[in-house]
Amino acid sequence: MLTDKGRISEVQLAILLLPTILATSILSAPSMTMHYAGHDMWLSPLWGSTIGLVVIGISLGIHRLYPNKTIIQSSLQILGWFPGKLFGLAYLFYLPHLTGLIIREYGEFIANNVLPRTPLFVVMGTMVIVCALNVRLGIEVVGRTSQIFVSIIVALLLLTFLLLIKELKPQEFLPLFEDGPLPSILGSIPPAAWFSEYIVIAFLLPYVNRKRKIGKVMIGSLLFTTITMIVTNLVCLFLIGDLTDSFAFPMLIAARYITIADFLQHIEAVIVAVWIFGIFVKISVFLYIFSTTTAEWFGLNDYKPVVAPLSFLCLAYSYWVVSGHPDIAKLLSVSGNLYTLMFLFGFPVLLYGCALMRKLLKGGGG
Amino acid sequence: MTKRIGSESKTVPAKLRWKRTLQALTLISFLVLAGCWDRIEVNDLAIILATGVDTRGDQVEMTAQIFIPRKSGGGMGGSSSGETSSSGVTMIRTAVGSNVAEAMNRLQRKVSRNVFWGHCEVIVISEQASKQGLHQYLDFFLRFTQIREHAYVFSTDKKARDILALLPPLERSSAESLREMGNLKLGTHVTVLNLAQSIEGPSRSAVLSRMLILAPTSGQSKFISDPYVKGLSLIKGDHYVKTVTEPMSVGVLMLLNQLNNIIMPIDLDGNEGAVSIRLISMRTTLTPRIANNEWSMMIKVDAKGEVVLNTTTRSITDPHKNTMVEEQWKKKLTELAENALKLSQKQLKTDFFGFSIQFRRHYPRKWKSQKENWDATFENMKVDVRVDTLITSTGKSTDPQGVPGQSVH
Repeated sequence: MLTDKGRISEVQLAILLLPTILATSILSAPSMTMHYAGHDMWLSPLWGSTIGLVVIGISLGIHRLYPNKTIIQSSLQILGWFPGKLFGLAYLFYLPHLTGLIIREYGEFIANNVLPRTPLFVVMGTMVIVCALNVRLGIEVVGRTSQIFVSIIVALLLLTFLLLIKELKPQEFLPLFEDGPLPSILGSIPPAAWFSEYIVIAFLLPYVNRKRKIGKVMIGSLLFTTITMIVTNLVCLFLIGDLTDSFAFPMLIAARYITIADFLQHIEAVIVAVWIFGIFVKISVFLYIFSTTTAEWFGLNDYKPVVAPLSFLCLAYSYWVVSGHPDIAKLLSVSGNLYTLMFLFGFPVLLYGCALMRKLLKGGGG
Repeated sequence: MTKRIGSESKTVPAKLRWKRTLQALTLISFLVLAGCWDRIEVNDLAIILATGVDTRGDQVEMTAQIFIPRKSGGGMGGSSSGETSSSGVTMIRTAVGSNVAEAMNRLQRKVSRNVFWGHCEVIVISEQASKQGLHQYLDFFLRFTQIREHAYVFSTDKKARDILALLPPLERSSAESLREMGNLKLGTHVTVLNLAQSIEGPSRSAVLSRMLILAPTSGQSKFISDPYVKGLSLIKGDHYVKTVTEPMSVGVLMLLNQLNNIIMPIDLDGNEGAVSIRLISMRTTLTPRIANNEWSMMIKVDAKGEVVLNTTTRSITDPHKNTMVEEQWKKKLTELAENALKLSQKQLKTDFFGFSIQFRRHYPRKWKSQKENWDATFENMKVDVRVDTLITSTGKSTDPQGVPGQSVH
């Protein structure tokens, strides 16, 4: 039934999800959140995480009703053949769009800050090749690489936070709720869009071999991402204060600001490393989902043959979705976030609603 | 080696042979991909240590201090150190443009190597330039990717160019001298990021250390000298408004909570002579208060000091005498603070000490409603200054030294 024979453990899935959510959010979320939430931006991920909770609940709920099926497969049973195929088709169009955007975001960041003279195509192409190899080797390899990389990411992030402590001004914490609690809730839309990416669970749950503690483990993963986001936002707030939203990548500015004993400086490369490790896992996860979804939709037995062409398609999409940095900013703004939320949160909620209705009707009928 | 592989390849299946070929190709590609093709070697780079901003008419004049690697290597020998410092390890290049970015671009045309700004740790802005507004410079420094946000910003009443042209006898470059002085906290300690924060924040002002050029020792070239800290440049909005020097600058630094490294002479009433006190630590806290719709500010200064000089004839260990010194010191500090306040509130009508930041923090609602009238509120605000002084040590000696016949008693 499944297009990949590999299996991962529930903890591996949880770890896999960390960079999937955090990789892009660490860099651009603080600035976007502050744009709407103002000084209370550190609180926004907390509100946003409720979306993550709902999405995790839905994924587990659908999976409980239709065990060992991905969301694309179970949609056929929930909605019927034709609407189910339409549902899958929507994702076939959406996933390359999202993956392309992630690849482009990676490319723009590297090209702007680290490799200004390297053509964008080389930056993005090399990453996509590595990710495609990773995906082709199966979910087990994706799980393992993420395990290794997450430990590096956590260590490097902690190092950055630690080295910054001297420069932080905790008094920036006040004023709290300057304009009432509303802005912080409004500002939770960008983090919510990131948290809605937890829907990848619905695509990956069938590959998990033991699912007894899956709920707890997923909540643990959600807690970790929420806390990391809050800490990142607080670090930016304490260091850059109200100027956070005037920088594209505040966390990079923060890392550049580190100067200890006149020699420990210029370590923004650490943040770049975090970003590359994280984005590698993130692109791999989305490429994997896109490949398996395609294979399932067309009824293939094996997803491997489609990986290479689809990777190339995503690379092409990364050029099609945007033409420059302002476009990325637009796609990542509120309207873009609502678009993301529709696919990663709205549709699954509808699907789960239908599944529950069907169960109820069946139960009532029988 | 090749023989063995050749003999093996006859037996291996076709698929494995392909794999071998691919592996070999990968290995060979490492040679090509080592990154040498588009490299910029260190000796193709002109590393900029400091940037100076001046104006020429209504144009921007940008000066870069460039590191000369050869010269610094020669100095390592040790024997000819005098020669090294006189020839200098830095040089300057200046370019003029209609704005700072254009000036920077023109600067590149005067340098044979690739200009690299990643090590620019110091930025000197002349008062002339900041009179015309810091906006364009700050935007550039925070937008152009190579420039570091941690670079220190100084002000000068001379040309920034002249300060960067100095070749200090003690340090490798005047950029280094400036940076070390920033670290010593002789004046205000302001980085590009801090400057942007304080200008864009509610207080809309900034205070920069003002650097002057020390007159060179007679007989030396006029470039063999050091920059030194003298006074502060006050910036209102993004424009330079006034220079203050001692004693006013001491009061300003005190209220900014940035006073360090100072020895104050205290005259005692009715007693010939004076006592000098070295400041050990000082902490200034601002406590805003809104009562009955009246805004007021409480400034509390905690100062701890050590006696380094006693020219009176009486011992400072005497508790009565000690309290007297503390009282006098307190009086002096209060007077300094009140003068600085008067300058800020009445004369320049600018919130240099961040009162508005405190009000915003502690009374966010009221601050929001009063934000438009802030200037008037600030000008007429009642400010209480409370200074607490403590003398923690009297140095090595207890009784005054060098008083003729003292120990005979």
